[in-house]
Amino acid sequence: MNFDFRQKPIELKTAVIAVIFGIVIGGILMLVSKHDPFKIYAVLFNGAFGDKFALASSLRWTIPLLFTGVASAIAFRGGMFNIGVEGQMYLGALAGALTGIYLTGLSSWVHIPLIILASALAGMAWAFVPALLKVRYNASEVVTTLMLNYVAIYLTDYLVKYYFIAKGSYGQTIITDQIQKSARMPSLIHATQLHAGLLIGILFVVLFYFLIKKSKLGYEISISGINPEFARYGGVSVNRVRMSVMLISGAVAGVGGAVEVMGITWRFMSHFSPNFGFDGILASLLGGNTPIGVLLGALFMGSLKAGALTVERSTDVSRSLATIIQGVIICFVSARYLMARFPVSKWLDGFKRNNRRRNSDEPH
Amino acid sequence: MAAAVEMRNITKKFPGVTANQNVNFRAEWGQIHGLIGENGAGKTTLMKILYGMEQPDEGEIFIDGTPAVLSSPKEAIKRNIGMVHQHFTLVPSLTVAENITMAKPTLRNGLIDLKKAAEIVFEMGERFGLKLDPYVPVKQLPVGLQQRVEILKALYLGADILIMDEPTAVLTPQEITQLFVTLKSLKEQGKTIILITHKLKELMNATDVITVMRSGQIVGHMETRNSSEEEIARMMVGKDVQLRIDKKMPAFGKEVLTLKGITHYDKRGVKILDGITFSVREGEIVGIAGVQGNGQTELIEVIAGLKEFQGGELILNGRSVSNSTSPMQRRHMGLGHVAEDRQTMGAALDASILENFMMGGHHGQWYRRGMFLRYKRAEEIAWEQIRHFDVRTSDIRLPARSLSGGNLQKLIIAREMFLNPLVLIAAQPTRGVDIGASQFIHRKLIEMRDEGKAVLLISNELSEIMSLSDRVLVIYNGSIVGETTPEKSTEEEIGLWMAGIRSASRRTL
Repeated sequence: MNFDFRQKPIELKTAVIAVIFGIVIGGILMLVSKHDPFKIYAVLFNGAFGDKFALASSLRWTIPLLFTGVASAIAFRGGMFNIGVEGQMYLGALAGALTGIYLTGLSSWVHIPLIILASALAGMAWAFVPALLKVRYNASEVVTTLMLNYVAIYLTDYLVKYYFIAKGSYGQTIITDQIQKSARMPSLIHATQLHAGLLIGILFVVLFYFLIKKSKLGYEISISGINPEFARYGGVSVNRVRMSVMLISGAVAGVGGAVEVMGITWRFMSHFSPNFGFDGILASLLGGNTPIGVLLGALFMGSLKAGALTVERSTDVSRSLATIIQGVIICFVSARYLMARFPVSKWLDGFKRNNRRRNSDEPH
Repeated sequence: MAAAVEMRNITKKFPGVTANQNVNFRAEWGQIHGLIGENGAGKTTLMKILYGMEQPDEGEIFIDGTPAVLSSPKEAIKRNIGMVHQHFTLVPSLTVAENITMAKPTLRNGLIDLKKAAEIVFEMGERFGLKLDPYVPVKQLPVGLQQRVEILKALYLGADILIMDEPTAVLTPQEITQLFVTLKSLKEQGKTIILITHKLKELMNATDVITVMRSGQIVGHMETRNSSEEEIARMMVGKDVQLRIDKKMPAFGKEVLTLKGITHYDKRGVKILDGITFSVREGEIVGIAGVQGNGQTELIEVIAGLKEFQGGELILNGRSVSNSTSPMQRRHMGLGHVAEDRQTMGAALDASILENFMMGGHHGQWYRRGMFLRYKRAEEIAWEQIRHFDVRTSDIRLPARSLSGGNLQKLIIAREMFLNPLVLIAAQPTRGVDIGASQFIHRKLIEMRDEGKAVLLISNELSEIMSLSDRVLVIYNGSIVGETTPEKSTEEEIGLWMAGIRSASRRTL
C-alpha cells in the first residue's frame, strides 16, 4: 500500500482535479441509473448552500469534521497514519456524555470545559495504545488503529448497555440518559442544528496552526514526518514526536466526539457517527494536512453531506451518492500513480508546445 | 568511417532547468571517450538520452551512421548500447552467471540452462580478459569484481558502445588501475567506451578523447594528449582554478574525540567495527581512508549516537559518552555531523531550505523562545549563513529539493558549522559536488581546523584525504589497519592498506 501522502502534502491542483473527477464520475453513475445529473447536482447544491437552513446544515456537518480533520492532519504531519480517529472519537463521546450526565449543579462555563477535558483524556488514552505499540515494538499503526476502531465502537456499546443505559429504554436501543442542560452547546441559529461547537472547532484549527507553524514541537513533527532519519540525525527524538502526535490526535478526536454529544445528540448513542473519522481523514488529505486545508476540506465534505441528505429527501437518489463521490476522490488523491497517468497539466503544456511548433513551422 | 555515436542538436529541458542545450556530441569507434563536467553540467542527462532513459525535446541521434530512435533502454540495447550505472543493478544472492544472463536467459527446452550460462560467462571472460567464477554469488565479490559483472552483463547483451557512469567512485586505486586495463582491451577490440567522470586525473590517464560540458553545453572537445589538467579544469569551471590546497602549520591542542576499542555488531550479530581506537585533537584534521563499506558508515553513526556500540569507550570533549547519550545531548556536548548521505540523512528534501537549516539549532537559544520558534529570526540567520557559504537560492522557503547537490551540501555544512561544534564529523563532504563547491568546502574545513576545532574526515576520495588531513587512518574490514601522514606515504601505499594487502603481508612475515 502506498501511504506516501502522509509525508508529501497534496497539491491544491491534485485536490481540485480529484474533486472534479469525483463529481464527473458521480454524474456518470446517475446517468447510468437514468437520473439527470444536472438536476440532481442542482438539488445537492441547493441543499448545501440554497438558503439559511441549507448553510446551517452544511456547517453543522462540518463541525465534527473539523475535529477529526485536525486530528488526522496532526498525526499525518508527524508521519503516523492514525486511522483510529473514529474509535478515539467514540471514547471521547462516551467520556464526555458521562461527564455531562453525572456532574450536576455546574454552570456551562465550568461544565463544558470539564467535558472537553474528560473527552480529550479518553481519546488520548485510546490513542496511547497503538502509539506505544508503534514506538516500542514498531507495530504498524495503520493496522492497530484500524482494528481498535471496532474495539472502541463495541466497547462503548457494551459499557452503555451494561452500566449506563438510559432509564426506561428497551430492546436494542443503546443510549445513555440525556446530559445536563448545563452541558449542552448553545444553538447559533435558531431552529437549526448549528451549534457553538463550530467555534470550538475553528479554535482547534487555529491551535493546530500555531502548533505546526510556530512551535518547536510542530517543527519537530513536520520534520519527523518528512524524513525521520534526518530528524533523528538532528537530535530529535522521533519516538517522542510520534507518541506526542498520537496523543494530541487522539485528544482532538475525543473532543470531537464530545462536541457532537453536547451539540446534537445530547446523549451517547450507539453508532452515532456516520464515519466522521474517515471523512475527517479525507478532509485532511484533501487539504494537504495544512490548517487552512483542513478547514476547507471539512467545509467541502460537510456541504457534500448536507447536500446529499437533501438529495435523498427530495429525489429517489440515495445519499450513497456522496459516499461514491468521496470514494472516487479518495482514489484520486491517494493514487498518485493514477494522477501521474492523467497528467492533465502536462497535456496542456504539450498541447501548447505543439501549437507553438506548428506556428513556428508555418513560415517555411 | 561513420562515428559510433553522433548526437545532433540535443536539447532537453526539465522544469526550471535546461539540462542540454543544442548539444552536438560525437564519439568514434575504438576510443575511450571521457565526458567530464561539474555536477549538473548535463553529462548524465546526455548519456541517459543515449541509453533511452530520457527523451530529448529536440535533436537527432545516429548510431554507426544510421538514425536511431531510442525510446527506452530496450531500444538502446538493440542498437548495441550498454550502460554501467554508478549504483549497480545486480541481484546480490544470485550467481555471477545468473546476473549476467538475466535479461536474456540461456534456455533449453524452455527452461533456464545455467550450465550454458556459465560456459558463456567463462568464454566471455577469456575473450575480454574479464575472468570471473560464474558460480559465485555476487554478494561474495568485492566491489571491483561486481563492477566487472556489470560490464560483462552489458557485453553479453551485445554492447559495442559502453557508457560508464562514474565507474571509479567505489574502487580502490588498484581496482581503478585494473578497470582501466580492462577498458583499454575492450577498446582494442573496436568497442567505444564513454566514461562519465568528474575526476581529472583518471580522465588524463584513461581516455583518448575528452569532451567537456558546462551548464548544459559542450565547451570543449580535444585529444587527451594535447591537453592538461589545468586546461580542462578551467573549461569545466569557466575560470582559473587552484588545484592545490594551502594549509598553515598545525597547532594541536587537547584530545576532543577519543575512541577506545569501539566494537559494533549489526542486527545479525556480524562484527562490523572491531576495536576501533583513535583520537582527534583540537586543530587537527584526521582523515579516515578506506574503500566504501568497510565500517565507515557504522563508525560515524556510533559516534553520532545513531547506532549503539557494544564494547569500548567513547569520550567526547573529556566526557564519557554512553549509548543512552542521545544525538541531541552529543550535539550539545560539541559534536557536529555532516552526514554521509545528504539526501536521506543530512537533509529533508521536502522540507524548506529554512527548515533544513534550522535542524539541530532549534534545540538551542538562537531562535527558540520557550515552546516556540522565532521563524523571523531564524530566517535572518539562515540568510546570513547562506550568503556566507554561497548557497545559491532565491527563496529559502522553497523545498531543499530545489537545490543542486553542491548547494545542498554547502547548506548542510553551513548549518553544522553555524552550530559551532568542537568536533565535526565530515563524512564524504564533497561527494558528487562540483569543483568550485568542493574547493570552498575544503577551505572551510581548513579554516575550522585553523581555529582550533577538530575535524574527523571520512572520504572515499583518497586525494581528498591526502590533501586535507594532518593524520591519515586506514580502515579495512572494521579495523584501523594503518596510521600515517600525507607526507610519509603515497596514495599507492595507502591504497594497499585499503585493499587489506599490507596487513595480510604483515601476518605472513
